[in-house]
Amino acid sequence: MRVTVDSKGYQALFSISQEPKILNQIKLSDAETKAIVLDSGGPIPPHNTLQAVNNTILRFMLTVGMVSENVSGHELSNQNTDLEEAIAAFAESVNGILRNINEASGDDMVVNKNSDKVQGSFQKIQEIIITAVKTQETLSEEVSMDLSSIGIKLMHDGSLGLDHKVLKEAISSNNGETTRTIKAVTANIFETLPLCINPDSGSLIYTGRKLEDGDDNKASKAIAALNEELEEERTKLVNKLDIAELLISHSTQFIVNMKFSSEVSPSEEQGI
Amino acid sequence: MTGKTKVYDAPISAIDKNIMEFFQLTRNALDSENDEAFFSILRERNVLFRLSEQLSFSLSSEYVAKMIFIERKILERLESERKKIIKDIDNLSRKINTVKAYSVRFPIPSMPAFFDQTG
Repeated sequence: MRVTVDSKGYQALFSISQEPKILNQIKLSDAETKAIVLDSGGPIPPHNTLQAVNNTILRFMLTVGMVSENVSGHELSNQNTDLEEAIAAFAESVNGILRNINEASGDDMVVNKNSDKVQGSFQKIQEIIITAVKTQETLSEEVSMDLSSIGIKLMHDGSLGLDHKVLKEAISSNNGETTRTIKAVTANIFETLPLCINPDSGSLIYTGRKLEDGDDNKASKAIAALNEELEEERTKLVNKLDIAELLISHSTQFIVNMKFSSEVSPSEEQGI
Repeated sequence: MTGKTKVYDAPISAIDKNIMEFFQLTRNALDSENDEAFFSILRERNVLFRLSEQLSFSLSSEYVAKMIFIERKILERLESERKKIIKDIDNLSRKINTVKAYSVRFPIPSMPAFFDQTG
């Protein structure tokens, strides 16, 4: 799957900025649309809920990718309006995923299934996003600004607030630095957030690889680790199946022995 | 008067103690809510299975019938757990095959098995 934008990277984001609410709905299927609101109007199996969260993370990554490409395109064309829209779209998208995860963490079905692990995974994802947008430490050394200096602040309710006035001023007075700040934040998210939740175990799995990683080595290791985890899980299940079959055979034998030696008639047995 | 010796109204012996333990474990297994506890209790009970021959001679036929009835409940649940495990293994095997066939291209696609693809 690959997100296509025009040569300057503007077209896709331009269409998004006309209707910011669809920012999280790139290439949506029906199931993915449900995932946006995480409320299908009826009970959703925990697997589906977690898969829906995974879809939301994936869409967020797509959006961040588009914002990043658009900001890179902006460096060449220097159109301030588009940059402002791109940054606003980014803030809206962050709020969207944080809201979705909050809603999913209150989902009864999720709470009942591997509750601690799933809640821990949700919390970790939220922390990663908040850390990426909050602290300057996570940005590159070449960037002197942080998101708060371009008008994006973490509010008390845990959402991002965007001050358009501050953003406009930052763009007009320090355009290059503003662009680099957004690029650093999106790169940081790309590096840390390619995660998904294993619907069976509730644990987080890293599915991407670091931007700087030139070869496939780390990605292959992640896949190998996941494969190993699944194989271990399968071995446990196979052992459990062996035990179940042993218990079934003993239980059956027990009934046979009891029947044989006591000569219980079928009517007597059914009459209990 | 039958030829069988009925010992269920005799003073508590080692066999009686084992029988009581067997009953208790059977009841605990049926009452257990999760499959792990269910299996664990039944494995514990397994060591007492050799009692079955003694049991049938020690208990009244009504009691034996009741035990068979309860044991059938255990068997039903075991069968149902077995089916569930087989289904889980099947799902997991499909997931493992997906992982094996999967190659990463940063940052997407992510692991397809973990996403809702019903749409």
